[in-house]
Amino acid sequence: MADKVLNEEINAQVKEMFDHQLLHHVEIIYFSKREPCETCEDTYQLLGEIASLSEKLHLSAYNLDENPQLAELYNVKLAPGLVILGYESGDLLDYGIRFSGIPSGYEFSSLIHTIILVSRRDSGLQPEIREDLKRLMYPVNLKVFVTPT
Amino acid sequence: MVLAHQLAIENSNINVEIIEANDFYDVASRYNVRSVPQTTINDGIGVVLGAVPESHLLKEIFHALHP
Repeated sequence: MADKVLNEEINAQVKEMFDHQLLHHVEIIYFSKREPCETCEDTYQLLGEIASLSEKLHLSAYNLDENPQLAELYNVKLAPGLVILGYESGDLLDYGIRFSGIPSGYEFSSLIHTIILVSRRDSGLQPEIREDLKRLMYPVNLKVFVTPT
Repeated sequence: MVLAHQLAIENSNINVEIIEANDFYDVASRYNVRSVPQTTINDGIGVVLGAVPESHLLKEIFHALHP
């Protein structure tokens, strides 16, 4: 058996969070690519371990080069690339949430929290922020650059 | 950066890419990333440095859209 990325303690913690907080199903789409990709394999293994912690999580994997139309549909250009989607009445619900690169370190916890938010279809924002956000009528793309530490 | 994702969930006009700067050095340098986290709004009409409270990030977004 291959070594696990997540240790037992983290596994148990995340499973408990999922058991208590996940509400609706979540689809995680993972994109790799054909050319050498240093972190693709680790990312896929990590996602597999996360997805195995709840029956509400579904993981599918594609290759960017072999599935250009799907990659374009989800606007994924980098690998490893992740798309986190919700479900509503059987249809996929795209909030426009993407990760490029391996979600390790701080971004691991960010990914877990994002999966929970998408599953609950609730931003969890303060009421006054929600109110302010209603005024936003134009398309906004945020690129958030991070490092694992 | 969960905050950015919270904004994306709340308002369908917002989409968010979290980009690992070490994995994608070329992309990071194209957007002049010198420290992290850095949030680039609409490919450069605004930039927010560091981890900021939600109200601050929102203010910067509105300011970038309506300078």
